[in-house]
Amino acid sequence: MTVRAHIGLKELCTLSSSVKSFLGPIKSYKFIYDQDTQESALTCSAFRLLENLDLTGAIGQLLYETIQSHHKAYQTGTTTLCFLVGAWSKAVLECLHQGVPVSLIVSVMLEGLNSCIEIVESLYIKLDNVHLSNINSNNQVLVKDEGNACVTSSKNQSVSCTDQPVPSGFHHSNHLPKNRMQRQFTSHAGSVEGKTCHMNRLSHSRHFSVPNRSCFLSSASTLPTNFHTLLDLTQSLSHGNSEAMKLVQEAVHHLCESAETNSVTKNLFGASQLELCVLKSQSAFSNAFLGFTTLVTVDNYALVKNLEGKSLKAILVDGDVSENYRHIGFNKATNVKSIAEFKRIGKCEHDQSWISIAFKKIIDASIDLILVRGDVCQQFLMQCHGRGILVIPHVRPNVLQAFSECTGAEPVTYLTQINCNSLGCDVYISLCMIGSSILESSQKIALNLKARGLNLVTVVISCRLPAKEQLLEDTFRACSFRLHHALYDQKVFPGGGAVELLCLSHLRKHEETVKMFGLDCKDFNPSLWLSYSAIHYKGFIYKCLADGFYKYLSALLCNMSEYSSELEAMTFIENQLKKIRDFSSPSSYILNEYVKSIVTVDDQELPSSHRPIVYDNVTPKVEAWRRALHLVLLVLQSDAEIITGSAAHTQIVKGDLTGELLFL
Amino acid sequence: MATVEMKKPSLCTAGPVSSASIRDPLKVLQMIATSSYGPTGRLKQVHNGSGGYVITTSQSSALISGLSISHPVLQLLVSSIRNHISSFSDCGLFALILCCNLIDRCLTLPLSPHKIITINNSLLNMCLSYLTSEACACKLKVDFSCNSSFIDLTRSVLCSKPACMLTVKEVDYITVLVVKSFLFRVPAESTSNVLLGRTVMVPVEGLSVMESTLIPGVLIEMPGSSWNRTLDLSYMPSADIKLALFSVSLSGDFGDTGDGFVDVMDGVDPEEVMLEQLLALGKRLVDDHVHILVCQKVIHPSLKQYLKEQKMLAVERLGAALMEPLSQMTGAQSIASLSSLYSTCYGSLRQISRMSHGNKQYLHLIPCDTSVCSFVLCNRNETSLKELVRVCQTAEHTLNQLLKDPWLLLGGGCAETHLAAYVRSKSTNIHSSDLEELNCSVAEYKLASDCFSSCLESTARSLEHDGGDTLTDLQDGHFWSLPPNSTPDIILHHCTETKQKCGCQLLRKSDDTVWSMLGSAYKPFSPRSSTDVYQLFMSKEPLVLDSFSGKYNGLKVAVNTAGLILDLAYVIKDEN
Repeated sequence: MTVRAHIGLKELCTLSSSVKSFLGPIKSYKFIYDQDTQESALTCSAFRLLENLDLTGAIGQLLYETIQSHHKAYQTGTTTLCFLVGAWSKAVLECLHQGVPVSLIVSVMLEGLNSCIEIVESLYIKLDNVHLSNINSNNQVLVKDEGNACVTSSKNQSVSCTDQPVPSGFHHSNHLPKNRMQRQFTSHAGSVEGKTCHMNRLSHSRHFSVPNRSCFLSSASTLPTNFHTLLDLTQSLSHGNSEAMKLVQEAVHHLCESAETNSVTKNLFGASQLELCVLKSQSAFSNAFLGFTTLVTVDNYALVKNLEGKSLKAILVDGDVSENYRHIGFNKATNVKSIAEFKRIGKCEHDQSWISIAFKKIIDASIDLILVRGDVCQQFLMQCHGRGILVIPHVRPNVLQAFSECTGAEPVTYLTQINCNSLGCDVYISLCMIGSSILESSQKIALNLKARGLNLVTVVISCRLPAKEQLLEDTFRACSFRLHHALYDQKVFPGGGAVELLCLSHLRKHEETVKMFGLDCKDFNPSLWLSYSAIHYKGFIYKCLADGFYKYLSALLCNMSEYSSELEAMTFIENQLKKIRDFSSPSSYILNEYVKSIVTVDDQELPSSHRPIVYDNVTPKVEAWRRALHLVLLVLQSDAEIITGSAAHTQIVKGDLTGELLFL
Repeated sequence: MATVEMKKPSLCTAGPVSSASIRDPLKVLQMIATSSYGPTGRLKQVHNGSGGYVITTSQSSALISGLSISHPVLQLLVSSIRNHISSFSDCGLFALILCCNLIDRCLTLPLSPHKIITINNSLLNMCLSYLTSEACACKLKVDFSCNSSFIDLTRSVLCSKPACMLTVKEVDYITVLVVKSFLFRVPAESTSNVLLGRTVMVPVEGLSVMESTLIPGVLIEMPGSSWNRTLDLSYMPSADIKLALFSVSLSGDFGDTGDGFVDVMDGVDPEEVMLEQLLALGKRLVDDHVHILVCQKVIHPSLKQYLKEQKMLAVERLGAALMEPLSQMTGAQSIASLSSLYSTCYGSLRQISRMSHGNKQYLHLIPCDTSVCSFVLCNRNETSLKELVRVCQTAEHTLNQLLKDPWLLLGGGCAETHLAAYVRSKSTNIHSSDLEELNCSVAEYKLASDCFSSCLESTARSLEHDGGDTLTDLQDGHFWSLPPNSTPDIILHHCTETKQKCGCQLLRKSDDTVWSMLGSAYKPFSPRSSTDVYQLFMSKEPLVLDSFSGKYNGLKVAVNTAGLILDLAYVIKDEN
């Protein structure tokens, strides 16, 4: 049998091999250096990596487009996508090497993935109630009801909330060098942590030390079984970026306070409500402020000080404030000539400058604050400054939208449109202070705008290294979107490779049973000979699909520094698979036993439960799997590239199987 | 100073087709077409080699429209196929493969091109008359009283494009939606001014295919930021909403003033004048009690503000694609100037509401009847979505053609093999009077007709891409596929053990079927006529069907173009 080398799949393998170090909570950064332009970029996300590489081939472009659309939709999970593309490309090449027909590979792999996605539904952890803290309004300590976990051997019950959550019988967690956990969870001024400690202290009392579940029900008021606090959720979703997640958590806290509610729902928090403001300063600083925080030049200081504390009237301008600005879609006529019959004598009364007309309108409406989406012309700015009116240019459209919604002001495109509908009231301005000094960076001061009902939080980050700015922004966005998706889906997965392990065991079982049960009538086409010969190949194809998950899991375990070599990781996976096979229900094994083997991040003394410590998002993960497999199968089925070269005036057809060029 | 150059003389190439220069590019074209044919075909990636957009497809319209060929003979070939595709949208690859096969094989025949062309024409007429006759055993009449033929046809079209990556469940679901949209399009009563309805495709990326729906009316995409503030639908009346449709730009600019200059009196600001006109127009609309204004291009912000205060909904940037469907749906005439407004050019709607699909927001305009529908198609990634949109448009077009030609051909390669068997059997029994008319001998006729039949058979064989063998049965001449390297024992075993069906899924294997490898010579037989196989058609099992008019015209185009190319004697090229 001849070995058919599929060039497209090989290219996919090569392109995705570089993201291996991005998997898991401990990422190694990569520098991308452009020799021609001498530019460099620092990144730890697959999306930024591919963005900075100049990919001109069709396959590279397809990969980039897939990752780009995933990033746009979810902002997290792109590394999973990229790695699985590479792993599954290798698996498909293996299938081709064995001579499996292409159409069969496509249909059986799609079927296999769909069945995996169905089976992992049993691992969903529901998030119906996410509360800000676990003390309700009556100041009672709310205790979790452990009834959600299934009843297993009594060995589990010794893990009560009095002890530290030491996993019993999983020795590899002890191998973990403690000095790796350097991120401390510093005591934070917010009230949330205080309440959790409070809960732990109470739990040391004799009422709670009995390892019997029923006593939990008798004392304090119990919560529904899927109660989570925001703190638990954010820590579990942080995946190693605990600082960025801390900011997200602060932001959500502010939103909850302003909305005066204790439960965090998807209506309250959407990742688009978080703004980011990056300062370039000497000290590393990060904080979250309620409202819109932005930087203005230092000479506005006196103005701001004057306006502080007063209830201001604001208008929102959706465009530039300049004489020559016209709204989008307006094509300025360039061939207009102005002619006059008589020379004008003296100044006409209509001959006022644009600035003075505009300014007069502002003064008449007694406006104090103007938020502009685009640029502001310098003269107008100076005139406003002289009159004590603050003008802020370059405001993002979603911020304008948020202000418009809460103040009722209609955004205007031209200043001539100002009328009573476009004025917004009750806007407050204040300087951002750190301790007793003003927050400033590179000749600009930070000020904060608030309005009643404004559900916008700005997170201010500063870093010393310009190279790290993009990185910080990316990790912050990824963390906020992880929380967003968790609240949106109302469920999460247990993390640390638990889901992939279940898929692996499921596919292994399928591989064995397919030989016994014969034809599966799902994707059956009675006129193709392939449908009848499928039985010979199905087992092998399932094995190849499982190989992708296998590689992912071993790379993840290696990256978590638990195993120094891939062989150790593979041994661990095989042991787990054997244990799952002996267990009656794989999903309950994973939910209860496997997750305890995941190391507790940050050495936390979290209240014990049978819940896993690390979470993964549901939709971004499952969609990443689907997109990765679709891309691999699409490239598998393509056998030629047709290059329409306008420069060459010829058609070039490149055969993917053989790599030669043919001209039309 | 202009330079005067002598005109270069035109270049004349004699005998372009007989030289070897055509064989290689023709082979490449044939390879492209054959490898993309059918439901197990491979995909091609079309791009411009310098970072432009990549299309991954196996559909003929996308593949052929991407080609820009320099060889004049191939240009002729491709342009006639393009013509066929633009009229019928289906069977483009079939026509291309058959044409390439014909040219390739006929060049190897030791006959003069003129003779080959005459014989091919007579064979073509023979095929076409058989296809239109009552005794044709590979065609099926459409029964308009039940849905099964529509569903089978649509399913065959959808399954033929593997780039959509649809599972069986998804294929069934989309098939039902496509057939539904066809039924909506056909008008209920036949009045004097009957017009076929339309379906507007609304692609949505990122969702699963099962989230596709069919919605009566038109969906206009609204940008998310202007959603809550500018859309207040509480002022709309509950029925009979008046709509004004503008195709001219309401942004306050002059529009196209041509090359000359526009003279303006001093002291007059043209923009102010335009704005005044716009506001006067707005006032007219308010006086006429119009509820919604839809503009193809941009609306001036001041006009928008005024209309909002007057509680009128203003929708801008509709785009040219939606103008005609909207106009057909509401009865509104699109207004192309700012001054002439008649009350008869307004349209009416039943209801306006909001809709969101995925993370896009739409304004939903619901008409009083179902003549215009929006087909919201979803798929996971952009490539598959674009392919799905193309396939659904092809299916739509094919269903529309059924209204004119209510016939269907058996698909899966069976119609071609059946035709080939028919041609073989008829040409062994040719009359000497026909031979005299064609002015050729029996041997010459046999050579040419063998070549014609084997071209048809090899077109059918192109459906097999995974190395399997293809057979035909010597009773009906249908297409059967087998695993590769089958020995006679395996064939026998395959017959009795499995319940494999033929390419169109009409026939089942039975013990007394006589087989022959497709492409090898077999004893000519006369296939069973339609009366004998009539019973099988009544069995109500799903079949693989092809569009009759598409295949009919494809056959005609292929043979005629091949004849044209074989007849080429000179190519004259202008070198200037």
